[in-house]
Amino acid sequence: MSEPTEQNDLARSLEGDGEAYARIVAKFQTQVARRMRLFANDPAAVEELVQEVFVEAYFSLSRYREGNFPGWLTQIATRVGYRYWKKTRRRAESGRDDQWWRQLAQSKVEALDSATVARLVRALLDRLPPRDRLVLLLVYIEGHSMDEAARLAGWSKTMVKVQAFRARRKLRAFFAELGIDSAQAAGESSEDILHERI
Amino acid sequence: MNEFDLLRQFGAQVDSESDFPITVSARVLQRIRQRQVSVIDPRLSLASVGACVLSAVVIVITWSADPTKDSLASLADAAVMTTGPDALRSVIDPCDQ
Repeated sequence: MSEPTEQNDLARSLEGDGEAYARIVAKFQTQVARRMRLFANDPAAVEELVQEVFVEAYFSLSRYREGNFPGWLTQIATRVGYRYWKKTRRRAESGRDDQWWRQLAQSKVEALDSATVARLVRALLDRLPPRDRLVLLLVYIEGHSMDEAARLAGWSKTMVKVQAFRARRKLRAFFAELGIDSAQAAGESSEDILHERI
Repeated sequence: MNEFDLLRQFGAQVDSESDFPITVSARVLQRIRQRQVSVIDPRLSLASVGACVLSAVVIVITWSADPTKDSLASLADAAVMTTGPDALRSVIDPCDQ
């Protein structure tokens, strides 16, 4: 008997074969979990999001056209993560640690270790509306093109451009609050990168 | 270092973090089954509500047709004759009639 392929498993999943879908989940769960870690820090929340992605993918399988299944799954994961951000926004705002921010303001960003950088970026993203966060994630953290970011977010390219501009401005203001003059520090490079992408 | 460098550094760090073991297949299948069941329930509820609305419409139409007292009384008599004690007795012991 031949080994079941991904396409076979997808076809069988569509017919309601749970075992086939379990194989699909097992194959892609690590990849999806890695992506969901960008949306949530807590492992329990990440696991919950991974489950949600696969449940949503299952009920959308009839709309999947053969081709790039991991890419299609990434698109679903992006939307699930975005919904999670919208749902948890209020909680993130109320959970701010002012003391940590004050300590951070006194330290040099260049001297921060990677764990603190991660915490800082997550904290800054938490202060932004979910739309801004998503565009920063797709364009700057993951380095997608505007077209790709638009496809993943389900927005128009124009909306991605406008949102990227606004998000950048807000992020820059937050950095200024922390005492980082990003415009000066960035020099030409960041602007160049942005224009190149747009 | 500027904000873009920090974002890139963050992305690279998350990417390089070792993957924690995750096994969600069983839970995903369970959630799929739960959702499939919960899809049926609203349909049943909708059917129940639909039946109630239909009944209400029939009652309203009947009343708006302004039924006479006589027809209602005759309906009541018919109900008593077919389901009342006398009717029951006639079924149990027809020789008594």
